[in-house]
Amino acid sequence: MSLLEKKIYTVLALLLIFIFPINSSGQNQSFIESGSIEFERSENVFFYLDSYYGTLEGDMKKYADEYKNNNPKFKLTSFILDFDTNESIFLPKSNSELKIDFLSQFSSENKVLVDFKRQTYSAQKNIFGIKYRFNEPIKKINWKLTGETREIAGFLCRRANGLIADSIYVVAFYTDQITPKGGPESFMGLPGMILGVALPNEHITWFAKRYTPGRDRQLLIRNKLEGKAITTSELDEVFKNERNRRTLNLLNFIKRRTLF
Amino acid sequence: MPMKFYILFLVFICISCVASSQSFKIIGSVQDTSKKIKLNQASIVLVNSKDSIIYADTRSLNGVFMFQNVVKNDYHLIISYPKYVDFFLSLNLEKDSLINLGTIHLMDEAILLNSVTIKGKRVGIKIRGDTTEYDPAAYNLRPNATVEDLLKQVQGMQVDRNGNITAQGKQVRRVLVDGEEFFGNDPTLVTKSLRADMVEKVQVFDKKSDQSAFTGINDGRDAKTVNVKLKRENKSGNFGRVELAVGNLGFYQGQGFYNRFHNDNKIAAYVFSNNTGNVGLSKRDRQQYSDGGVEATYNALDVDIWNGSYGGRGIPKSTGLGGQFSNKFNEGKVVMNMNYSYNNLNVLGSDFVERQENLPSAYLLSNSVRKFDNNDQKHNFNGDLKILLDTSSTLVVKINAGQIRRNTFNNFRAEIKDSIGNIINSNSRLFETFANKYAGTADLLYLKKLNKERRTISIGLNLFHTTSASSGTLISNTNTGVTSELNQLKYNDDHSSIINLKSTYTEPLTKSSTLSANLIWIFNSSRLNRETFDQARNSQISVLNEALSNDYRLEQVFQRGGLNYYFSTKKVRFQAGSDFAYVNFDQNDRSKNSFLRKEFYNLYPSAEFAYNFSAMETFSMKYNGYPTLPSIEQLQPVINNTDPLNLILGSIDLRQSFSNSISLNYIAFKTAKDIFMSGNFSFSQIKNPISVIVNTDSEGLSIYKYANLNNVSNLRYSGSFSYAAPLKLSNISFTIDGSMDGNRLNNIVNSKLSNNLLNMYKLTFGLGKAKKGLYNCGVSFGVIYNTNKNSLQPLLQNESWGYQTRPNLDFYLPFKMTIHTEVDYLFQGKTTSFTNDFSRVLWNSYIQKDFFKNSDLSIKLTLNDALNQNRGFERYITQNLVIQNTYDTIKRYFMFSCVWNFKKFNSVK
Repeated sequence: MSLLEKKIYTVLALLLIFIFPINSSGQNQSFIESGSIEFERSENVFFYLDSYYGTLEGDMKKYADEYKNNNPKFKLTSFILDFDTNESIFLPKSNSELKIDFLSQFSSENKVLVDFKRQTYSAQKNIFGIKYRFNEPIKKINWKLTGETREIAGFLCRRANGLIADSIYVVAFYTDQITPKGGPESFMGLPGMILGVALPNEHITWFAKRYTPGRDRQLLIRNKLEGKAITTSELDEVFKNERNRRTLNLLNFIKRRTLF
Repeated sequence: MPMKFYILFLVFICISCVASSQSFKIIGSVQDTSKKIKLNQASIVLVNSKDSIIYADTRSLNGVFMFQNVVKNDYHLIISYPKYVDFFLSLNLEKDSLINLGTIHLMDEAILLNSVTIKGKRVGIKIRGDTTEYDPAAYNLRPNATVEDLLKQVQGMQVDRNGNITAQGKQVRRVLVDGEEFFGNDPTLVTKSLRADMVEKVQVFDKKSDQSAFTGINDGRDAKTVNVKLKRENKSGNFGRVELAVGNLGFYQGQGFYNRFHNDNKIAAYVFSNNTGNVGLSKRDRQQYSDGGVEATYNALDVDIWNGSYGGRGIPKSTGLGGQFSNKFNEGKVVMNMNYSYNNLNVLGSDFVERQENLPSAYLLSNSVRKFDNNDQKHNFNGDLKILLDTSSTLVVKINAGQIRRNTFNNFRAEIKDSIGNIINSNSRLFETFANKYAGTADLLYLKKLNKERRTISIGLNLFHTTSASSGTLISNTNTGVTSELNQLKYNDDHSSIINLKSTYTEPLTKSSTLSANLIWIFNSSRLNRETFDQARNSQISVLNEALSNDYRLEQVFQRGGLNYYFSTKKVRFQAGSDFAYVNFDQNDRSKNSFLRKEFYNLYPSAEFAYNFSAMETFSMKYNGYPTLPSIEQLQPVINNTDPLNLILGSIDLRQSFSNSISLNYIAFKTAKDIFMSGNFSFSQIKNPISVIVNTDSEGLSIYKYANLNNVSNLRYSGSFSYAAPLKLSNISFTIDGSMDGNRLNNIVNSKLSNNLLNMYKLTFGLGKAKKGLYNCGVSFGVIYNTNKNSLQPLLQNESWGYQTRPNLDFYLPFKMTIHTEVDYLFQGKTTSFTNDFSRVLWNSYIQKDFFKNSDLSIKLTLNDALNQNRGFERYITQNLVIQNTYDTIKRYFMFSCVWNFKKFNSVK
């Protein structure tokens, strides 16, 4: 090699040494792939009582007034969402702490198991006192992304608006720092974990309170889903049969609660 | 047998080809801007442009991401990564089935956050291509703050006392709401009536003219535009404001705005009445838009030259109302906008003019006092329609019509003294006029994209017509040792019609360059008929005064064509070209039945070069050469004696002048450090200018005659710079602005050439600091220096210094109260010709209390000009005259006002 060629090769070699490492190193922010999120659900119970029980007379009215006198306007319930990139389980934090009231029979204590790989989910819901088990593919919701952001449980979340069952307006906040596309109840499908959901017309919200790393493997084993297997069309039949016992207004309210 | 397979195979390939030509693959990679590190697990979301519905999402792996089988549509791509600024990109999938976005660089949020002085985690500024977006929630605003209050705080934007907005160094010509015009002829109606809490974001960008946006060539003729995007929940509902105020000395102010929005359907109305000179007065007079004027244009050739504006002189009384309606039909293919406005202005007052006239052998000093009482009533209607005929062609139709009724009443008294102090001339006169004016324009523009990108053709037709009929009475008494009296009736009848037909064809030469060819044909016909009748005293007989009457007609036909070459890449923009015109200039003196035919050959060369250092730093240079043809009132061979001591005479022999002008501009906004700077310099030379020859006799009577000055050029030059940055210590914002204006103008006075040199320099410093919820204060201090020298009287050089300081303070008190106080101190030093200093202190303050949760109701007590020192004052120099003008203006008053804001929005569906 001539002196010039040697020089060129040396320079090239040096350049390669310096360029390559820069090119090949990736940046890995701390993205979260698994863990446990505690959600707090808030329901405006007085609103339900006024809207769906207010017009009734007799026992129900008495129950409604008595409830209002002895309870706060917003009922708070804690749930746990334990997840990783394959699956997630959502369930009430503590069965013993669950309040028993008129809402207990209207899908208040759902347990939801999601399989991200197969894109299906199973849910256990208590409706009219009977435990039912649903098994469905994950519904595709058309989420509209807005520019709004909000901080929830220490994560920066983006807002998306969507519509469920053509009638229920949903506002959801998701964070792309947690990669599995899950969320509380059966709300999922956004480009990250949903940490906040609000159904403005139903006066109900779920917001994440804290995230802890590490999964509880025992959770799944201790909480197998039980109940009578049912499809949504079969559920419609159940509601039809309840027509004579409750007002249409109340029935629709209960039906909407089974949708999420 | 094998044949069947082959055929099936072929068919299969064809089907998959057809199928795949409708689906796209998008790939790209993501990296950090400064460290060049690949970003892993970045969230990439593809969203429909039209309705923001998430179409698909993915995460980057080793920096690389991919979307497959994407259906043809218009999308937004949003890339986000924790601690980095979001990246947005618009994707319109057209031809290529593989879109390679290359390497996308994300900017570290820490750099941006450090510069924005807000609390909380929201970042106020986003840069999307050539648009800057501001998020109102990131700024310190009062609960019922208007969009104007928001713009005052936004970096790179300044709002002056009248509400005029300057963004990144250029004046904002349009404020749109959700992309559409909203009371287009008065942008302050948007900024003052919309509340900042209804706004999702404010976008600032350069809006191209309809023709430029269509052809795809950046012709550099952009208008700085602000687009206010409303929050989704504010797109449907109604809102508005009512303000009532009453003060002492008979001052009052009332205004109401009502707006009803229902998605694309927008209705708005306003009404106002006041005698404080605040809303809807001076801005409406100015014609601001080059995209086809939004307010009717009128000639200014009436018996009295008052243009119907308040301009700060005298005591005004103004009432007006207007309405706007806009809607979109046919899925946005048809956009319609209509507005109507009415304004009645009355101005009454007096002004005092001191004038020094430089003559070769002497100079004269004159004083005049004028009392005026003027009224102007105008109606204006605008309609425009934009129709997307199909994906490649658009039709735009604009109509504009207006009417003005004006009357003026002036009472003058003037005295002229010679340099020793003897009165050589005195005059008193009464001048009363009426005018009735109409104007209308119709604009039709057809734009069509041909089969290749940037190959387009456009044809535009513009029709314009205006007529004015004005009349007046002039009664004048002049005493020069001998008295002379005038009692005259004057009539002016003027018409003007223009037909303008223009067609442009553009052809792409290479990926970055385009050639455009244009052909223009203009027919411009105007007629000015002036008649003066002398009325003898105690007699009803009036006789036509032939020296003061003339019926003149001017017809111009322009045949013009030209070529322009454009080159544009992301960094560089270059343009060069010229038009060439042949003009037939026919002058017809109908009173004397004589004709004069002239021909002009004109060249309109232009060139421009711009370099974008980055998205927020640009340098540009522009050159323009153009002729200025003489106008009908400069040509008309008649004496105008509305000021009997200063007669004006036209000249039929005038020829055109030619101007060469150059300008340089630099503007930069360093987002990381929040520093804004701009600088510009412009220079123009007018060759063979149309100037005046003045002859003043020993009795102070002057005759001004228009004439071209051969072998002489007039020069005008100006420069300015601006710098704004936050100071390191305790968040004080600092600005410095400087400007320089000057000119060298020539005219001929008593057969000698008068060369007048004028230079004005101004330097202003400003400091400001705000603490959310507590106070907002600022102070500016400026120094002004003027010099003037005239070759006829070199010993009478005028040199003066001036100072101006403006401190202001807002205090936010508990119980939703605010105190605001501002002072404006102005000092102008004496000069050789004006031996008095001028100084005044203007002190305005108010105290305000808001009620209700959203501060919907406010009560305010205002004290205007507490020290009662307001005086109108102006000094200016023109040709061989130095003039100082002081005038009546609104002085001290206090006012009690009540403002109620209302808004009701329907829940979103």
